[in-house]
Amino acid sequence: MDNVTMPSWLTMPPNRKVIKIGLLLTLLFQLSVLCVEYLGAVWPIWTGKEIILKTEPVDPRSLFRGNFVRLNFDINRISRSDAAEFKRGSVVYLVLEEKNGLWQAGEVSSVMPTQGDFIRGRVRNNYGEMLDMDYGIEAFFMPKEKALAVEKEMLGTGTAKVIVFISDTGKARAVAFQCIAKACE
Amino acid sequence: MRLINLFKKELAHEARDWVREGLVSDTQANAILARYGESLNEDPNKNSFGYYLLMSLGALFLGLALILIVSHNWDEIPRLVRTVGLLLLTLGCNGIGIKFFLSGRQQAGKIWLFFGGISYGTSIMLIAQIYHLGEHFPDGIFWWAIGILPLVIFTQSRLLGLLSFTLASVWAIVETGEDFFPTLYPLFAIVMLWLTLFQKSSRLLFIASIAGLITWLNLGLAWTMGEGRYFAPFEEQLPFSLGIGILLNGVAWWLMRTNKHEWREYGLVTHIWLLRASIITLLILSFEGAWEDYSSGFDWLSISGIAAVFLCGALSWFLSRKSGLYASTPAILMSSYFGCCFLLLTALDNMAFVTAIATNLILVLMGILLIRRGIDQNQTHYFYTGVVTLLLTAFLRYFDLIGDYIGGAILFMVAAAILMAAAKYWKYHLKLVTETGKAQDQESA
Repeated sequence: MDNVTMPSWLTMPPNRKVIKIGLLLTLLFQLSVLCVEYLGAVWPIWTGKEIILKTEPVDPRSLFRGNFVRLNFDINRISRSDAAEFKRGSVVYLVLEEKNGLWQAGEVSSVMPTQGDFIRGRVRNNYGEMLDMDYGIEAFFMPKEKALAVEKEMLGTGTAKVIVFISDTGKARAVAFQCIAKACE
Repeated sequence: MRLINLFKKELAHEARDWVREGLVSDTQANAILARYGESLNEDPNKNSFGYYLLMSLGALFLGLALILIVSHNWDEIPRLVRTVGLLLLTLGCNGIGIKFFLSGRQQAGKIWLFFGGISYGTSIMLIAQIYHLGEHFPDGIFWWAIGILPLVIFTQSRLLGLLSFTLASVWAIVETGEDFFPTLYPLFAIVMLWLTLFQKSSRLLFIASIAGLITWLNLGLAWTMGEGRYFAPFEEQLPFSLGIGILLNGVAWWLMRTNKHEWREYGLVTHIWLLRASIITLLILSFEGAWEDYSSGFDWLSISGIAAVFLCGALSWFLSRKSGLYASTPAILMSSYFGCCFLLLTALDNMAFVTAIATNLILVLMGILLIRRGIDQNQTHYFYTGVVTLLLTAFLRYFDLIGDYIGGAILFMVAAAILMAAAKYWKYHLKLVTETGKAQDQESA
């Protein structure tokens, strides 16, 4: 039989004082995570500018997050000849230009613009001359019945307009549908 | 270490009946149970465990109810009220849990902390839902798992460990599914290994951590090949994975020789699961098509893969050599067989046919060795595993011939010759043992 001896710090349980401090710090950590998540969510709404984006809702439902409508914005797919230069998962900024009350895609840059309206996103994929991007506003949560009703209403025209807030740093937060399907005409 | 160690609780239960019926005395029963690290007085009614288990399940069901409420979208209540409510729920459950735990009511404390952990995770998901956060959603699961991990360290609770590790594994799966590498996953596995090796005994958490680490290593190899941007699984991953398996078997034998009872159990469980995994792997590799994807031609990747197999084999042999021939022979046999197969495939073209035949013969050899080990050590598990291995090999080859009918027939004939030779050797060996026994009896008479 092989005798195994281990250092005591590995085998001894932490003492009562360490446990007490550790448990309280863990609770503080959990609350901090929730607070940071909350503040990150409301910051663009408190400080940002309201814009309207055109979208196309698809595929409701999520196992972990409840029922939602997945929004497919026009600005999610950008056609660019240098799409391959943008690395997958990298942060990018899309300049937004207003046209008839709707904000549309302008230039894409990996550096934060110093002026104008822009939105911060991440490159989901790049294939050929197409850049696929996420802005953290692609999921819109609502009760199942509402989600299904939106989906039903979308059949036919397939359009909707969403009110989005963008902060100074380009962080975006979707807050509501401005109109759905025929109501947008 | 014998398989009966995995059933020591049942043995203790039986021993209590033997004492009650007067078949053995208390001292005798305790002496028998002491061999397996058990005693008659150890938690006889299991009432506390039953209570703990039911309360934990109750907390889990409450948590599930909470998640269902989340899924229903709680639209009627204002956003801020909902958020504050969630923060208070997390604070309250964990606060009660900490209070109970520090005041000596540790089990009640752990159950409250478990419920607090579920409330914390539900809060992460619900805040994301309230504010329509569509950001990379696996991050939510990661923050949930990492928020519970320190509780595992400070309470040494297996229940919280199971919750944290399950969440970490779910995170690793969805993160991989989204084409991102779960870099921090080993952190969870290491904490679980610390918990199971040095604090509390849990075979489930130990095996799950080992399996998780091996999977993560494989994902890491594929991620490295994709230049850290995407997963690019490659054929040469197979020798690396097989090498890790062979090395782990050596570690399992070393664990079975240690002076710590729990470690010996972990070693035995690891060895049994590796045995099952190796039979399944060999059955897959017994098909010619399984080898065809492995590319021929020497490059640094193929050479390092082959070297890894031989190196892991040597290390496994070093770790298992003191445990006897049944322990060290598979290390040499498997690493030589796999190493030579990959060498052949790399050096020459169209060798998949040869390696598939070799795998079938190895399966026959493995079956014989397992049957022999089962009889030698009086362990039916190995005996029947050996029989099943032989029957499965025959079954697969009967329906999926290698080559044509003649090729299949030749393979069956070679397998039959090996089986008959093994039977003959066995008969000769038994005769020798019987004669030696008789001679010793005569001498003593």
